[in-house]
Amino acid sequence: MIENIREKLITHKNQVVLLNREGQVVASDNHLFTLLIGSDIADINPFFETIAALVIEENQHIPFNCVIIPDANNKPKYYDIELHTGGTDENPFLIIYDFTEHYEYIQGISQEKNELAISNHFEAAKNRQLVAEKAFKNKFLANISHDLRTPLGAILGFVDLLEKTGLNYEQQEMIQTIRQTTLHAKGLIDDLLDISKIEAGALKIENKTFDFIDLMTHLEKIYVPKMATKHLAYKMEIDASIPNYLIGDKVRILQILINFLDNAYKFTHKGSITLRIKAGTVADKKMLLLVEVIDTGIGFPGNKAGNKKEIPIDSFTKFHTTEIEGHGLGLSIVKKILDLMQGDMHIDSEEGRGTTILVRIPVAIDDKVNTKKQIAVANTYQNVKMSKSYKLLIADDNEINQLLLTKILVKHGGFYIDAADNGRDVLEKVTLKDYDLILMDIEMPEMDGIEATIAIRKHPLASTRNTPIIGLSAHVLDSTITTTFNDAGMSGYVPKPYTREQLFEEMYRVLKIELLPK
Amino acid sequence: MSVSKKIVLVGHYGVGKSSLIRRFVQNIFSDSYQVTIGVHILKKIVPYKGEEITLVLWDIEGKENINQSRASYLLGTSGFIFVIDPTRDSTYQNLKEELIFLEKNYPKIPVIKLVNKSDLIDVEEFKKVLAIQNLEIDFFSSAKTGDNVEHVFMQLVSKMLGA
Ligand SMILES: Nc1nc2c(ncn2[C@@H]2O[C@H](COP(=O)(O)OP(=O)(O)O)[C@@H](O)[C@H]2O)c(=O)[nH]1
Ligand SMILES: [Mg+2]
Repeated sequence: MIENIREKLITHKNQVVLLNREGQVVASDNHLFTLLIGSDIADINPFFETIAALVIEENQHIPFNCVIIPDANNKPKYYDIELHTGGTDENPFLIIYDFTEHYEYIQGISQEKNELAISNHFEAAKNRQLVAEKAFKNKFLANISHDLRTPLGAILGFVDLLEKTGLNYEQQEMIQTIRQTTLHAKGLIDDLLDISKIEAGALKIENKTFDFIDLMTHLEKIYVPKMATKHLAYKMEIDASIPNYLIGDKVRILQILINFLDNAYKFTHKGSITLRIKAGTVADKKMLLLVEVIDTGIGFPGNKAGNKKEIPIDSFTKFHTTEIEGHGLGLSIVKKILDLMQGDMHIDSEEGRGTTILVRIPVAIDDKVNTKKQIAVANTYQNVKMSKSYKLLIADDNEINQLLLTKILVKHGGFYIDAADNGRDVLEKVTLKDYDLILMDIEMPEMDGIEATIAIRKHPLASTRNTPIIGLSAHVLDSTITTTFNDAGMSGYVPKPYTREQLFEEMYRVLKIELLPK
Repeated sequence: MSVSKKIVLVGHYGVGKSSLIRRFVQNIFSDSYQVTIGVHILKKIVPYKGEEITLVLWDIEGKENINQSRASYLLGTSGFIFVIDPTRDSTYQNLKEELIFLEKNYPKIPVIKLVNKSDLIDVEEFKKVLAIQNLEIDFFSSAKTGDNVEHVFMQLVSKMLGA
């Protein structure tokens, strides 16, 4: 039994060949290769060509592992071959072992290993190239954004200067458009700069003490007039327990809030927008600012009314980018900034009913400097003291003029504004409500400004009768007309075209608004 | 009996050693990669100055270092061709050390330094890459197109036979 196994599986897997020093076969058991006595061993395979040279030196034992010798069908077979060169009176001999199965297995493994290594190499090279390209792109973006900001800043600066040169309505309107467009471009460029910084990992979150109340005042200044242009109610509900001085990245926090408020503004056409900020629990001088931006806007399509539910941020961003004008960078930047701050955000939305954004921003409390301060009244004209908000009625048949005037007033802040289209409309409105001031255009259809003023001055109710009225007229320099104004009972006049300063100067005079010493 | 010379192709796996030998001996090429393990020997008889020379070509398993190769494979070698792949810098990063190893262990044996796969690159550009790294190369070849293959082997023959 053992002999049988040995015969079949071991004996016939190897061969012993006796050679002379010329490399010719002297004897062979021919288990693997059939060799004729006296034949050249190199006839089996060129491998043996070198044997003749090696057998010259005596008493050597040289192993050759894994030598490939194809069989009659040209299929590779793998052999280990040992050369014994023998002593002086001995014959050199070879032992040939057939290890084909073993080496085929090894070949398979090597094949896999090498292919993987080569493809990894190319993957790695590709990655390196991608990283380099990305770095280049980011650097390029960063540079170009930076370079673009300088000229834009100059444009904005000159727009401001130009605005103070006494422009008429039309010019004012155009300069506003230039400013808006430039600001829009600047916003886009700032976003690009942010994106390139984020991608390059260069965006760092600051941790500095900042004045939280100042931040809120700043937001109020921006959004009270802005929301008024769309007749939206803007509410700020700021938790009084939030300390005045916090530690965090003020600029980025502002960026986050502005982004959400601007979004809300864009998607809300009636109703209100609320910014609510509550203090989370305080632990170890750390606190979460729990921010909610609640609007009554168009909401997120697909989320049917009555089914308010959370929206994945990605779909929200995508919706904003594709459905609504805008580049959608803002929201993705905010998301990244929040990630860097280790804050988070959630979006709840209902189609047609509105959206609530919940943001949690981690901050620290700087209690070295915490004294409580009040949020100051928003007022872009810092040099006047507005003791209250004034109710204004503006009368103008030209819609554009109405709009322009509204814009100027809203921007100033501190006015509630109603509008009338002609004298008759003015008379109706003043009977419904008391106004602090009427800005009255003279040339209007149906009933002009003079007639309306005369009628008001004859009104039975004293509060209505005594309403201050400022006439706005292109003919106001004509002295006869000035007399007509006075006779009609006007409290003041502003010539058209007027500058903002001229208008407010007259309004302050008539309303007895005090100018603060500068 | 004619003169017989042993030539060993060395270099990393996948640089095209087997392909070069197959192109030279059988004039065929395959895009598919069959990893060589151990050693595969082919021969080719070439005319040289009116004589017939038998070239015994040892296609050995490519390693990342020559000294990892089985020493017996390199016994009695008359000439080396060191092959690199210009698309994989790892195949020539240690070229200098490898050449020093050969020089030390096989003194006086000619070595040809060969950039294969020249069909895949801009040769002039790659020369600059080599220059930057201060590497000297003897020839460019392509086993795929057959470009320069025969010439390289014949150059080695003339070096071996001391012409
Ligand atoms: N394009 C191109 N591919 C080659 C060339 N030489 C070899 N290859 C390919 O490179 C891979 C490795 O070749 P191979 O001869 O097995 O390399 P070895 O491991 O050094 O023996 C195979 O897929 C070949 O088809 C060449 O000159 N040009
Ligand atoms: Mg190979």
